[in-house]
Amino acid sequence: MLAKDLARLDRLVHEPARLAIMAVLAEVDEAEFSFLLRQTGLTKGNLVSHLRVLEEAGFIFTRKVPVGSRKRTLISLTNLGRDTFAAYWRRMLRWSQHFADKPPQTDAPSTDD
Amino acid sequence: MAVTDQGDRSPEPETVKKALRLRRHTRRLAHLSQWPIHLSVVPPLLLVTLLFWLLRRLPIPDTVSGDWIPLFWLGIALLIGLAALLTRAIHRRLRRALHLETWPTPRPDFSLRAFALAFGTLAFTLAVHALLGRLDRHALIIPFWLGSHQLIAAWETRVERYAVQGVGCLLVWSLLMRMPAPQASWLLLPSLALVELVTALWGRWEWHRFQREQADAR
Repeated sequence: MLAKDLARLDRLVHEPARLAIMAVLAEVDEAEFSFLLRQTGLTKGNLVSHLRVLEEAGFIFTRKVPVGSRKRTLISLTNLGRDTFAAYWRRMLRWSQHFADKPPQTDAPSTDD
Repeated sequence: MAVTDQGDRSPEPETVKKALRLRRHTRRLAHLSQWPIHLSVVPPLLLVTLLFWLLRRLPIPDTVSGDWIPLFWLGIALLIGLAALLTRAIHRRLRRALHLETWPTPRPDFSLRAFALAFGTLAFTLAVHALLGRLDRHALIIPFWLGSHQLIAAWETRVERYAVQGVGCLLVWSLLMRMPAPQASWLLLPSLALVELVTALWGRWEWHRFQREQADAR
């Protein structure tokens, strides 16, 4: 049951940096690029590349708003993005419950010593 | 990442916890940065009070009863709509003036749970008024409903100013319930304006304290 659930986890959202971006965006209407940068702790280049991946998947929408001579970049989740994240989150919470009940085994024997 | 016997990758518990923390932190931060909304609601409340005062000069009965009740609620709904539009306009300007427009606004909660909460607190309010035999005091339903609703919101979001607003509204309600009906009606909106002003001051202090804590943590 859980293994089937796991197979359905969205790989695009599963990546920790993209998960952080979507977790922030899920709580707000839309967020500025600089806000996302601060909240996720990613570098500028990293954030841009992950945003591009999410935008190509149709999960986020970006728009530029002119403020004086500068432009603010605002990012929001699309309906598809919200639904995908909500489904992912539900599975994720099930998994965290599973781990809370039964601590995970180590992946492989340690080779340090 | 932990690997299962099927070779799939499961989410690390730490990743789940981190994402959960990030969500909670973002939600709290978005709510905290909205403190000027309480300041924005003060002018519309005072404006509506002034409007009532002007209307009082017209031959309209002091107490709302019988045929006046539907008209009263229609008027209240219209006034709430106009006050909400005015509040929104002031809020936007205030956020810009206070350099808060770069902080995101929290996503409005239209979930089934949110509606259940709103209707649940309304039912609770009506039950309390019915038990006290004061269902006729229509206007005083507002501070009791808002007060109980905001106390739950404070518990859910961990935002202190909502608790201040909730306690303030319940205090206004309990004081006005002891007054004669006409007097209570006229004092309701200025009292709520005072509660909102105190809430805004608390919200401002809470926001700056939060920012200081963040700066110290960095």
